[in-house]
Amino acid sequence: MSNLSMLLDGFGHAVTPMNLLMAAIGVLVGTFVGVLPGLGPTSSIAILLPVTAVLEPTQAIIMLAGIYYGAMYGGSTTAILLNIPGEASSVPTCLDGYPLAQQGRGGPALGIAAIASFIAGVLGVLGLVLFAPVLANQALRFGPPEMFSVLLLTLVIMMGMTGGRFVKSAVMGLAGIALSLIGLGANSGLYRFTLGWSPLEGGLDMVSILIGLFSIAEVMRGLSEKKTAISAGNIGSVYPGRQDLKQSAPSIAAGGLIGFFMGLLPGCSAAVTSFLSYDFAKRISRRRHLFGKGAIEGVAAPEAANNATSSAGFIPLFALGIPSSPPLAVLLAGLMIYGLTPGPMLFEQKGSFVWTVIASMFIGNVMLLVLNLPLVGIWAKLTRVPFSILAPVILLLSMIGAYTVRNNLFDVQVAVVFGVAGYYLQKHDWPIMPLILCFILGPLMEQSFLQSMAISGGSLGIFVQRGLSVAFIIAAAAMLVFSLYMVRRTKKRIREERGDSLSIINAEA
Amino acid sequence: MKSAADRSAGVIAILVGCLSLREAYRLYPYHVSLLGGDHTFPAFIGAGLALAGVWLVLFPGPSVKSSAAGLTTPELAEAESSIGKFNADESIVDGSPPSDTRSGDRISGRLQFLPRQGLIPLLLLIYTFILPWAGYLVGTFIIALLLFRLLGIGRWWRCAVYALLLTAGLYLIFIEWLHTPFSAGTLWLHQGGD
Repeated sequence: MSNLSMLLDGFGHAVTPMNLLMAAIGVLVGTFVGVLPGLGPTSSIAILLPVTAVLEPTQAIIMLAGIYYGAMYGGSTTAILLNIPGEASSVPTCLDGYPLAQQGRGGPALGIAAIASFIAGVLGVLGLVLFAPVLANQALRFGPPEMFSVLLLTLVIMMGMTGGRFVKSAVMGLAGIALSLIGLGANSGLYRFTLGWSPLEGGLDMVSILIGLFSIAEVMRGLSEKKTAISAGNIGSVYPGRQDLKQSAPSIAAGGLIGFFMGLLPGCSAAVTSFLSYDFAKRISRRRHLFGKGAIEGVAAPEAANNATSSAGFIPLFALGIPSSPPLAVLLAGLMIYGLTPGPMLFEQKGSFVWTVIASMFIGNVMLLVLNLPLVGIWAKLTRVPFSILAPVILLLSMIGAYTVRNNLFDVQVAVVFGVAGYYLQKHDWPIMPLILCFILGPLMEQSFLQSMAISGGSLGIFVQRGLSVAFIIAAAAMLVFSLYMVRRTKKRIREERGDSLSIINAEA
Repeated sequence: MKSAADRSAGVIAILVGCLSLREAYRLYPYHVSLLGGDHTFPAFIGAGLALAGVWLVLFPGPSVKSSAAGLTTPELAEAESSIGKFNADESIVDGSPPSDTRSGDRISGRLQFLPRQGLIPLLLLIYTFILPWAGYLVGTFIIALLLFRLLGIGRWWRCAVYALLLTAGLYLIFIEWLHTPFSAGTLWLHQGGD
């Protein structure tokens, strides 16, 4: 069956009242938490992951994908109305969004952000339909050495893209693999890294670690920074005029394409693509003198790039099982909880599921637009919710969320320990992403390495004797250089625009 | 200025690296080949962490300046003034004197050595210990009450109302809807049984 007919089949499954409801709830909840101070897409998905436990896997993933899209969009509300970029990728949105809000045009800016997000999101999902099955098909030819090399490629790029010192990323990555090895060794049947302590014999739970690093640490950080609610002024009509749409169209197209193609690279965060597309939109615009003073296309380009990158990230996730950003790493954890292992075999074995989820992404993007435009006023009011009310809610939800995965209080204590660790790691600019990614991919990496050793009789030469494997290793080296350049460029731009205060490390938390 | 945090992290990385190498050594007798067995990854990780740790100790980066959620200095000042404004507005509603975190400071004031964000993990850990004993309803209510108070909601009765609403909301979602098996609390069982 062709991709198109599979997609139509997916629409057939997705358009059930229950699935539509899950997509709507996901988008609304995602936007809700994205707007609230102190929560980003990763924290939102991490906290809500256990809540989806009662749902069917398809419904749960549809809801989680909706939360992801919604939270990414929700971040733009605070950027435009309050000049507070929740994550580094929203900085370019602030540059023109906030001046527009000050001119009483916050509504059209939010409207354009929603429309740009919708168009780019749909473009990204179309790309997913076209590219993911092809990539997955190619990946079916991978043996253990190729799999190991591609994982190595991902991790190396990811470490380069975090934006910090490479040595710090390496330490975090190695620590992530070490944490993933806690528990029973596959070959010897002996426990590893348990230090003779029985609670560790079952290994560490991924959700507890995610909740600790993102939710608890985020609340602690919010408290130390005296995060608070700041009310927004009058936003005007949310429906942009014809002129606004005409001026924004080229920027939306450029931002969408840049966001999508750059987003295919593992580790290329939305922060990198949104800055790149903002600069590009400024270069191609006839009204470049207005950029930074309230140009509507200055909002459209980064928002389009942001959403296209989010959608493009699903391609390596579904086809190779490689998450390219922290929220997708949490989504991967969600897929694994439901017994679905992303990778080349997912399209073969669970084709119906994958195409239903892809179809629901189209629906989710439509809902994002249809539900959010009329609700912009309500979202703007939500920015007034005090942090002192939100924080206990987030903390107790996190505690119960960590407990519900295995009904084990030890997991809750693990979440608290990682919360403290996450707080200090963020405070000292240690990147969290390599730790998470290596924790998730570590066991797969070890398995493919040991299988390669079994094939080659213990010779490392196997990784350079096979064409694809060598290609991945060379690509890893090349991409490392490229990613370091891109990160340096993005950091320079952030410094130019916001002073030295916003790190691209741990973006999208 | 060179970062002391980087140096400390370097020392920790060396120690964890040594621990990993010890694990590799312990597991080596069960190997399939030199590079094939449960010892291989612990050995790579151990060596990598130890080397990276030495690098951090010898070449620490510059100290990280404290950042404030991406706010530049003027914006931070604006945000802080709005904290005062917000709390002043809030105090008009409930008639309490204007303060943003006085109640929280009163709690943390008794534990001056811990900043308020340091009290959060402490309270959460206490929650995990009292939960089996006090049960979900009482345990969650107590911790929610303390958290609201710590975070500066205001008077105790107001914190109690918020805590009650939160406990009830979570009860409906997790226990009634999701059927999460929380402890009912041994405290009540003992009282009832005796």
